[in-house]
Amino acid sequence: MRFGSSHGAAPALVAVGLCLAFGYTTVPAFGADDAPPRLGGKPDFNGIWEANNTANWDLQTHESRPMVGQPGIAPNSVVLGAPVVALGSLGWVPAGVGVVEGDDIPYQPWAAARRKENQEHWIERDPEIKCFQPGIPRAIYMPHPFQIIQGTDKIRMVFEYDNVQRTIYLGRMDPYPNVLFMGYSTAKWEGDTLVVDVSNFTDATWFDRSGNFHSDALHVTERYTPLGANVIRYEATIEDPQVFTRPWKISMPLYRRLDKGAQLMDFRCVEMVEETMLGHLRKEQLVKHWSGETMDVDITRKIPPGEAVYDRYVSGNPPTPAK
Amino acid sequence: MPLTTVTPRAAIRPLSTIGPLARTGAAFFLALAAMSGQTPAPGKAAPAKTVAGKAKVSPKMPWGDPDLQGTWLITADVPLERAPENAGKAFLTDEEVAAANAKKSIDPGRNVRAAEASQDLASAYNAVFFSILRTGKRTSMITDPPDGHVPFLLPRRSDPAATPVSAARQNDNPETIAQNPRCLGAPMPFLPINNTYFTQGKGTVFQIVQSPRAVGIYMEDDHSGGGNRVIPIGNSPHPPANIRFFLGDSRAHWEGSTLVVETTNFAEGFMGSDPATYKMTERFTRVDAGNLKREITFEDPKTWSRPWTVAIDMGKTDDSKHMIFDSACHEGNVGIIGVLNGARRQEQAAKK
Amino acid sequence: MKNKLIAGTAALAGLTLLMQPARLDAHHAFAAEFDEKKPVKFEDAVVTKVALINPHSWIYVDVKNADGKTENWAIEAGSPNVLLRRGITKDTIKVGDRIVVDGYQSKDGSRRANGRDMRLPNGTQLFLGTSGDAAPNEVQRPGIDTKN
Repeated sequence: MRFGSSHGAAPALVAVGLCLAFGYTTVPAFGADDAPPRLGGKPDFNGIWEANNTANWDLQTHESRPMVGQPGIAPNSVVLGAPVVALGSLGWVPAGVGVVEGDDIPYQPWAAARRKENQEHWIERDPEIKCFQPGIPRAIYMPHPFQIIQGTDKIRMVFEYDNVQRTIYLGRMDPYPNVLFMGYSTAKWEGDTLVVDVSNFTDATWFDRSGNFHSDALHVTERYTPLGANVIRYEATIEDPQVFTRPWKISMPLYRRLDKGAQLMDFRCVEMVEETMLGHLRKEQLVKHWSGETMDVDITRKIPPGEAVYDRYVSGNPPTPAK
Repeated sequence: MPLTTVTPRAAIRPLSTIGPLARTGAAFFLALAAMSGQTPAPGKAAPAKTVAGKAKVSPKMPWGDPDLQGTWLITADVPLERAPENAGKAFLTDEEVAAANAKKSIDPGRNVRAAEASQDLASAYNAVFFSILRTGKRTSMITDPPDGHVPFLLPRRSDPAATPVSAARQNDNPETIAQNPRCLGAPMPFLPINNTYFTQGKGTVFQIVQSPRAVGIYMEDDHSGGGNRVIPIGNSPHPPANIRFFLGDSRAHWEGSTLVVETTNFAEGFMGSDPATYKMTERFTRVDAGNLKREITFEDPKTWSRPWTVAIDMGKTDDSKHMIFDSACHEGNVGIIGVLNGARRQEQAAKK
Repeated sequence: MKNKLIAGTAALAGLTLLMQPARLDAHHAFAAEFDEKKPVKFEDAVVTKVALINPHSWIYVDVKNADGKTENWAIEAGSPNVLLRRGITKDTIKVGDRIVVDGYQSKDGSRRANGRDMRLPNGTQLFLGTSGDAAPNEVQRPGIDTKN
């Protein structure tokens, strides 16, 4: 286990002794010497980590705004819209400092319009609401912990959100024959930085809850660099020539979860979202009405017409020219 | 992809309860192309691996633990319980295995169309989508009790959550559709049952990543992100008994060269057992460079008269090949929309 | 939420073919989604997109309807992971390839069909193993897992 504060020399000596007794080359960090642990000559990233920012809400610096809003009475004011009006302060996207270098996401003109549309229709389009696999880099800064299991030729990250994983291959691999929501990751070390190349994406994931999106041409390069025993500097360069005018970059610290007994909990996606995603197709509507002190909420479900009923997501690819 | 086969080892693992494995080539094991697919990280001692067939010692991690890493594929088709015709017989003969495989190799399976339309529809798709596994020598996965049967207490407990739904009402709601197309996943522990036509993972393939204090096993299952088990090595306590997990909660420790994994806190009991009293103990042993043995002991005094154990033989795949894949079932599940929407359309049409 | 035992599946199970196991496919009761009274046959379907996804792959094809107009249909196929283990890739079937599809239309009347049988125009089954090797430990069935 990690010990970040100063406990004096005795526990350190015991720990070193145990490590040597097991022939194990890493030494836990103690006291003022906050050196990152090492495994096989490289930084040891094993453990449970989590970002602590508003990147998953909105990659860019932003003021607070309703999750779903409508115009208020006062000029230029907004209030919570119907789907979230009972939530009060919880129904607002919290303000936050962005993680994008230059605070600018360089969309092509068609894509900037699509992004705005995505944000306006967030509650129906965000794949996180559908509990879809979040892709990379979004999985890294979800507001849920993830665990890194660092082996010798592979490093796996298991995310509490959706209990989904991505496996990073360090050895020589054949090309990957398909696409993946989480992308396909290969990596090498550059000094103490793990450099991960991610490709083979689908067109179905977003970067945040604000409609920032990509096409299936996405290519991500991540860098993980230890900043001490309990912090990793995370950087990701985003390239997608179908959507953006140039590559762009995000960066943020990742913090080790030091809580006693910390572990990933269950995250049962289908059970969580089935009513939201399929409730309109029940023979008899199940969720109809809720009564509170100051409001009654009545829900009417409807089935989209024709083939639209099958749409599970809006593709991030550029629109195909009409025939 | 080129894969060599090796004669299986005659050596007996200390925890095996079934005796020596077959000595002939009737059981098929995968070789590990040990060195070609791996680039050791700089500064790391090379693992003690050699080309399969020559290894006498199972590989080790640089920190000394046995190396369980890799993508493991089931090596043979073995039923869970022993069929009546094999009563008292723990192994098939080589001739019986060869005959079963010969029959499978010429069976056109689903490529045979039915004249009757509903039967034809029900047997989609072409046989290419369905793998047929080679027949195993074992007559049952169950190695204990020796009769190869699950020792259920009688009368069998009924599932309190089971609610019969008439055929006419099955498509009223997603929860009751026949054959459960909700992408909920297979129940733990992902026993590779129904291997004759295995189409997806369901325990037939998994990928292990291993660190000094945790093991990750990805089971390629439909459940949420894919059946991702995170298994801490050590003696930290399980969460309180009222906290339940779809995959259960696992804790592992080494006993010699075997990783012993104890799992409790299940959300659902396996084969009708009571999740409050059900417990599962797995034993993973790297038999040699190309083989992993996974033994599972099931216990629930409310359901079974005694603990019972299965053994599953897994073979290692070439580390440079991709043999395990995404299991994004929920993301692609338009089928459930088709079932429900079709039923609603038919109901509307019937009203007119 | 526990999975519920369905007493009514006995009726559906009676429809299964002799050679099929009782549990055909963990994801799908085809009879619930597709209509055996609406068979479709596309002799000259041109592939426009291939999505090797779970639980079911989809092959999109342009076909000419009775009026001579081109329609795009989505043909449902099996789960891809077994194919991927045999060396098939998402690019094995290419846009522009011509295939023959035998199937049943979806019950809701949309342009979707269950691809009961899919072949090349010369009769060869689609998705045979590219290298001639089945995945490890599979029985190799000539013409099914391998080309010959």
